[in-house]
Amino acid sequence: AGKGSSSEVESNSNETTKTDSKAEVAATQGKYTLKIGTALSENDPLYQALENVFEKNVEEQTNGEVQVEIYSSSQLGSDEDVLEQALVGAGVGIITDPGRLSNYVYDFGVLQAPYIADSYEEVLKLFATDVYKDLCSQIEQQGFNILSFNYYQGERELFTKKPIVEPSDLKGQRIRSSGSQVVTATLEAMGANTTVLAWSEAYQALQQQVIEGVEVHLSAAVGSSMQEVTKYLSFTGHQQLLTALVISDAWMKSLPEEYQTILIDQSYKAGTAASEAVLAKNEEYLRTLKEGGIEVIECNKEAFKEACNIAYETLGYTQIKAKLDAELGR
Amino acid sequence: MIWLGLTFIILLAIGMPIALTVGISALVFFVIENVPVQIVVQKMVSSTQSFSLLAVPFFVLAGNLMNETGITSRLIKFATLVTGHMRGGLAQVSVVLSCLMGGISGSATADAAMESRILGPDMEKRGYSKGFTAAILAMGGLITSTIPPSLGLILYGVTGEVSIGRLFMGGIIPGFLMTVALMFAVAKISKKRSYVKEHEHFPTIKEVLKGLLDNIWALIFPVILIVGIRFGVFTPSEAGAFAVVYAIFVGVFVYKELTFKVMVECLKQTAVDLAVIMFIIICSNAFGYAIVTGRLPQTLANLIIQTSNNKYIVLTIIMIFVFIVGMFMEATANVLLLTPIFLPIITQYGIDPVHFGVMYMILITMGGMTPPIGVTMYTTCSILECPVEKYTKESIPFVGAIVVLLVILAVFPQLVLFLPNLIYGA
Amino acid sequence: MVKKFEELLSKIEISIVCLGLGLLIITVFAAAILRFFGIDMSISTDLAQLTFAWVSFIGADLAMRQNKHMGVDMLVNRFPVKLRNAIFLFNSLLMLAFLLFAVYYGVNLCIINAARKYNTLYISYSFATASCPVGCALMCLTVVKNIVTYVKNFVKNDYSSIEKGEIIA
Ligand code: NA
Ligand code: NA
Repeated sequence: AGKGSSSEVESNSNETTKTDSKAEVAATQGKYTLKIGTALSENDPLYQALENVFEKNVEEQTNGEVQVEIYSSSQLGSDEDVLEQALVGAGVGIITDPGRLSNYVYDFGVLQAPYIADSYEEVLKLFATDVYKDLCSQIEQQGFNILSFNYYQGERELFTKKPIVEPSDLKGQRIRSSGSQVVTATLEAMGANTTVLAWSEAYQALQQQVIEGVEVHLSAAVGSSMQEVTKYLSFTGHQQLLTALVISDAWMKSLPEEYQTILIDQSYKAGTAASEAVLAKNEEYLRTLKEGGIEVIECNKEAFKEACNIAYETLGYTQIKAKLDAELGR
Repeated sequence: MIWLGLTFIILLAIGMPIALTVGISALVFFVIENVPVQIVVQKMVSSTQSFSLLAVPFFVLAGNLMNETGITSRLIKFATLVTGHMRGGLAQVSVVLSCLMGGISGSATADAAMESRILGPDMEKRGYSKGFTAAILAMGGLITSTIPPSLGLILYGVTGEVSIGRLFMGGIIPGFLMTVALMFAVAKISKKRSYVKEHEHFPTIKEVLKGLLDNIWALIFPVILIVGIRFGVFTPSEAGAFAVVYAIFVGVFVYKELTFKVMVECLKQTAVDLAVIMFIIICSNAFGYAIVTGRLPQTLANLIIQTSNNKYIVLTIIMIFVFIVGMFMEATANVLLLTPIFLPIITQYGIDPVHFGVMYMILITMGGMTPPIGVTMYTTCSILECPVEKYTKESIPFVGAIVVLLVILAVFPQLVLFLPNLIYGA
Repeated sequence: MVKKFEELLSKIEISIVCLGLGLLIITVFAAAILRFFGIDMSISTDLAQLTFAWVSFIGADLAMRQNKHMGVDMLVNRFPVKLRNAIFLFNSLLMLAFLLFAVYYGVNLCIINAARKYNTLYISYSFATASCPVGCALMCLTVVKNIVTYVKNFVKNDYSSIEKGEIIA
């Protein structure tokens, strides 16, 4: 239990936790065990990349010395809980987003700020900057280690009960926020009212008219059957959701250096595989949504972009954004 | 994992409170597995950070308030009017009362305790045996906890991430069938032992209508609750807060029986009732982390899957296991510790989590009524000063009636699923 | 002196828990009503959860004072009274160890992860975590009191207090 805090990296929560049918029965002969948590369900492409690439390769290349166990559907706890476990030195990791890391290094949130990037390729560029590297070293001092920050989950769009074309259409609409400062500020800048809810409660809340819309990426929307409880999809693309595999720095340092390298390399590989799978599946997700009765709305993306400028001021990210822009030459 | 189990059993056997038994064995696991022990504290705290779980204090308080607001006494009058002419009249009254209470109260033990205090002495005066009285008053609580609101279904929904709204809808028909089943059992026994009627005449339609009107405040509450949840006026947790406010409103403004002083007493009572449940939940959460990271659910699932491919056989094995564990373990701990293990298995066999949940919670809650260990049983037996042996003997027909009901529910899933599908869509 | 302190403590605890329960009802009910009229009280969830943590942990000691935490005493009750006293003593010592551990690591966790925030309250999550060490510290006092009773029983060779079932612990 203990799913109090909402999860930004949304999971297919309508399905109950499934048992890993091919689970190797507690195979912990290895010297080191890394337990990786995610809010996602087992049929998400990201989970599968973790299993088929990261777990498989790490165990192979370390001759089974490092055992990887992957826990779906927040079985290890909320993202915040697992980060806390990592902080006290447990051999755990979590797939999480910049918004969550901003609790520890506030400026991390800028990587999830609205329209900071317009596509997968562009958002990857952010993670090659010195600004990002500086943030990384700051987070390491806090006790975390980012294996790689390249798990792309898609761009965030609006799913609503009423058609949303302009920011003014969002006036008075209650849209679900994860509660993360970046998300709330973004939604408010776009013109909406926010209601903080766990993602697992969003489906019911929509069904019961507690909220009138959500902002989410396509794979999670399909995972939680948003086509059943909302009518319209506006491609606002206000965020590119790139997530990281974050583990405990203390645990990482306890490994021999060659193993550390293997973990970093394989996490990067798994991230690439996951991102490609998500991109490849986006068409399919969209089809599922349309077949489920979702109508796609031509929205005024430029107007939303314009409206979101205020969010940088609210969040205090104007300076760091300027630094990023300068470095990227835009 | 072995140490976890061993510590657990030993501590349980030497009378350590359940909550601490669970907490200490979890700690032993963490130390042996070399997991940072701060996680024990984290898990203990995070168990309280669930919005859905907030329904628990609310429905405990609402149940406690009912008795002080005049709602309960009116319901008793009505139940007597409707069933008093039957053989074993007062026993029938107690069953119907449990059903009526079910619409507001969510706890089997609270209902059994209240009925033992109010109806118990009168039943003995009418010549019912002590064991029979204790048994039917305890088992009646099962109806209260099956008809929504239900603490057990809330806990199951939270632990298994199953829609609480659907679970509530799913409990309605089984709750009524259970009322019928227990009334049938009472009738049979009463006829054999010629237990007395409360009055001779059949209730007239006019009397019943007047009775309904007198009780309208209590009777419409469950309707408000379900409509409110369905149409998004409130979530199940908020419905709990609403139930409390409603009970206070009726007690102060309609029946004018609730004073400030009584309300404070009620809060104090609730504080302790709640703390007992919550401390078990708190410690179980740390234990749950040990179970999950020890991969116990997968191990057990593999074991069960190897046993059989037939969903009814698997369901039966699980249900028998739950029944036996329920005889010895406290219900709250059972829901929290067993749900993560069994629910994934059940869904793999294509059994609906709402269908399973309703049957499973009936069985787990009944664990509190079956000897040798059971809180509901202890409560009624201690209030009525009834020896457990007598209780045990007299409870057999009622337990039998429930088991028959469970078999029927298992074979006809629609009995559970019809209402949730009707209201929420399939 | 000790008795007076105990009574005071118990009064404070019960007040905190009752006020907490009241606050829970008000926040959750008000949020539902306000939302119905389109006003969002987004802090209500976090505020309620924070309150719930304190109500639960302080309440746990309240229940412990009244011996309400249930255990399985079927087996133990069949033992001779002296052995029973010994088992109760053993259990209480074990409880004390567990609770002291929770106090120590609870405080530790509050400090280590002070950076973790409640989403909408903009205060540290440590305010919730702190409920655990505080509640457990209170329970430590209660358990110590019980331990003293059991030891006294041995010294005086008088077990009437546990025979009457006054202390079940
Ligand atoms: Na009920
Ligand atoms: Na039992």
